Amino acid sequence: MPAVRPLALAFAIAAGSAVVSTGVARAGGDAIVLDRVVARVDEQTILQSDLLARARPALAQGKERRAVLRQVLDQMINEVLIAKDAARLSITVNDDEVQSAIAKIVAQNGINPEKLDDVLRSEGMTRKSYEAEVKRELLQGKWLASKLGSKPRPTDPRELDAFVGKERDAALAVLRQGAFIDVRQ
Amino acid sequence: MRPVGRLVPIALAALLSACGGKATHAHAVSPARPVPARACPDRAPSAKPDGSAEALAGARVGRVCVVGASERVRSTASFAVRTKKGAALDLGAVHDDLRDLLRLPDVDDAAVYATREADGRLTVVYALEELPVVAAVAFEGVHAFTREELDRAPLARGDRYRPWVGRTLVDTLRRAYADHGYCTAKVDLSVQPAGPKAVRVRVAADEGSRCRFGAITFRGNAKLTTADLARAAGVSQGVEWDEALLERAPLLLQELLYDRGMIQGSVSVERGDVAADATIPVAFVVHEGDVFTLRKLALSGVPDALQRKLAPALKSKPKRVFARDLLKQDMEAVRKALQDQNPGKDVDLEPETTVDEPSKSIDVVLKAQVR
Repeated sequence: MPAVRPLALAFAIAAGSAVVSTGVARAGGDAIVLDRVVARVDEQTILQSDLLARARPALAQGKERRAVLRQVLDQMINEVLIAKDAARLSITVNDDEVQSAIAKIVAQNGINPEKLDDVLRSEGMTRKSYEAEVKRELLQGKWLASKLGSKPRPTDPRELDAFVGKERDAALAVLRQGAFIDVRQ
Repeated sequence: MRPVGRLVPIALAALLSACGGKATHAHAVSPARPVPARACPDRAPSAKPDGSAEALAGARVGRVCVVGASERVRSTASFAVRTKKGAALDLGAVHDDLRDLLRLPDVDDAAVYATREADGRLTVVYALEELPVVAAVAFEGVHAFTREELDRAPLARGDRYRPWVGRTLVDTLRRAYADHGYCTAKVDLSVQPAGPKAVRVRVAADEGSRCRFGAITFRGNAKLTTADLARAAGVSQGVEWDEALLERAPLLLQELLYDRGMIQGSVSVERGDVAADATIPVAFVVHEGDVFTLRKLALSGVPDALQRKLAPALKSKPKRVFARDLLKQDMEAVRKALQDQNPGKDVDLEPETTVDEPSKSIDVVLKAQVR
């Protein structure tokens, strides 16, 4: 039988706090974990393979592995929460919007569109993973815009950045408060 | 996920073979020396903390095992797994396997391991953990809701316990308390083991006392008096808190605006924090807009004679402030007159309004249809 997590820990429901549990993964032997659940956000799961794929570009730059994985996982949890909230608010991003955004990025960075795949490969990404990332960013942008609504915004760019960041954090805190987040170490 | 149906014949053939089913080959085969099959582990293996899955990609799979959970769940999971003995290890397929396993209704957690055996082949182990069954749901301190209402909760005895469903139950109960005026109610959920793979769920509520409406204030009104608004809102200070009353109030105030010609007006609600005396202040923000007059009222589909008879009795008068309540009364009078003239027939009456923004006036045509 796989290791059973302590029930009190696995099922604790603490408002506003993520639950950290060990799941079925057992450490200390000769086996290699091919894949496992690293986090659960309500009914959705984040797999180790997805986490590593997302962290690959940062890891390729030689950044500290543990810190990178923690940061990327936190980001992925936020993305799940935002995607769920966006779906609730009927906020969507279609393929045309994704392709249009990529075309703009390519033009702004002076990249030859035919060389885009090579550029992405050099950064540890594929066209598919890049499209997914752009889609996520567009969705988050729309979601954030809906949260900001018609609130008055500062005109100074630095103040605006701080304001947007603060609003985003506040909206995410509300989402985290209402979600079951189980991070499995 | 691979369709189960395609796999059944293979599994059946393997079973027949293992049970000494009839050989399909005519020629005699000398009995092979039985090779003892290595058993799968009965639990998830312990893993190296720094093992790299990528290093095993492409290695030959010698065995595929599914461990943990009940036999029924393992059996279902075995069909879902597409990584097969003899194949080269495909990490993408393993990832898809895991996603499929996590979609199985009773699976709570899953992980995939690989161990390199002495012959160089891999033993791939899919370790499952099953969701526990709810042995009992106990509500403690809950008095505001009936047993029947609580039985509609999304968690019941015999269900699989999913933490997020437990959370939904708590949120639902909190909202229900707020809707019923228990604005300080606290709801907590705890889950305790109740035997192997079972849990007992306890929902404890501290209902507190019912809140009341605190000060009711109005802002933004210049043409309408506060007394008129207070009368129309249908809520007053000291009344027990009721979400339905709070939802209805802006609609009633909106009607008042329409009845006074402010057809572009709107009302929003600002709810204050719960005060120490368990009251909640409420402010209604009124955007009145301009006052529109009725420029023309015409009847269509109504015989001339009847129109002449009705005209003096109609309460909506051109050049006066538009009032929706008077128009509704007029519509009722026209409908009744048409009904009296056409017994046994259906009378439809629809108002068609045209707003002229520059002159702040409205033309109304009441379109009648007798069927």
